[in-house]
Amino acid sequence: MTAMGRRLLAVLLGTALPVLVQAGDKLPADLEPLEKSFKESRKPRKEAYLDARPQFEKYAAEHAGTEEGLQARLWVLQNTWWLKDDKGAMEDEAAKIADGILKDYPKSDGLARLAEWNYVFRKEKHAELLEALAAPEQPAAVRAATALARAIRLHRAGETDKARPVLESIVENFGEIKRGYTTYGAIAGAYLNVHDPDDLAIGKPAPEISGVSPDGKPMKLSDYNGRVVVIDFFGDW
Amino acid sequence: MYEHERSLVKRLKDEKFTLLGINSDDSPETWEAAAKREELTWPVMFDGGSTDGPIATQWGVRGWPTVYVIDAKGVIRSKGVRGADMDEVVDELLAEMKKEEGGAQVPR
Repeated sequence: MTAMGRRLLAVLLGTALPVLVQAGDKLPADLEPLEKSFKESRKPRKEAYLDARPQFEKYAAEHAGTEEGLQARLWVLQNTWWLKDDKGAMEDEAAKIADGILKDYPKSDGLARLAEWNYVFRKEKHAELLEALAAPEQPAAVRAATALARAIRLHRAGETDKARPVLESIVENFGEIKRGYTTYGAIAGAYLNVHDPDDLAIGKPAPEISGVSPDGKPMKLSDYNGRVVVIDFFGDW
Repeated sequence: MYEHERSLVKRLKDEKFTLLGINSDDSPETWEAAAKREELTWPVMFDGGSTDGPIATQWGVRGWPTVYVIDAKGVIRSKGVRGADMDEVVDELLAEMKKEEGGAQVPR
């Protein structure tokens, strides 16, 4: 069995458990109180964002060229999301900020977020960013994120035949690289093994789910055999 | 937002019923904070810290919440039910399970 075959099998068997280590992207401690008050503010999100943004930008300017400065600018970029209701404002702002980050922080691991956050960009802009981020001189984490973003785009467009080799190369080349609390290998493996919708139809046996609890203990759907189970995919948002 | 789930779990605490959450939040702390704040007690799997987590991806989940109801034999019996409809489906499946368990004990 090839190394890739083993990794795919590990993903399928659920043995490739998420790596429960704090991900690399962390807001600098100095900015945590700012983010907390942004999150807790009762103002409309757009207003709260526009209030907080100058402070993040100031911090970024004072810490230009450092990891902390980059994280502050990424915060400003990600939260352009709150401008989404103003026609084109989010996309225009996001494009400008991303270009600035790309220029000031070439070859930083944090550029991976530009590949990931497709939802703040126009489609053409995102494609252009992916082009730049796929360059061989980019760090592996950035190339991994870029490849995954491309594969997801193809997958969602129904071009699964084109997505497959990209996903396989992610498992092969970037399988162990962390993405959040899991790995690129686990996510690409999941895309390669998406359940056929017919297998998730009413009357079909539910496919096994293997995962971990928030404190890292292995869990399986079949642990609850013999019980009526409501599976609830949810997030606290 | 957790009110209905909490009352369902409480009402069925002595039944063979489990609410299993698959959490797509960006960190385990988000669920832990919510569980503490809202006094939530059911089992949760943490799906890697994004909406592209391996479980949600394999199940093709693109909207949250997404709900499946599984019977005691592990068969998918209902999808997408919320609120009172969820209660009704769960109650029916529990009744069905009891009937079958009871049936098996009757000497022939």
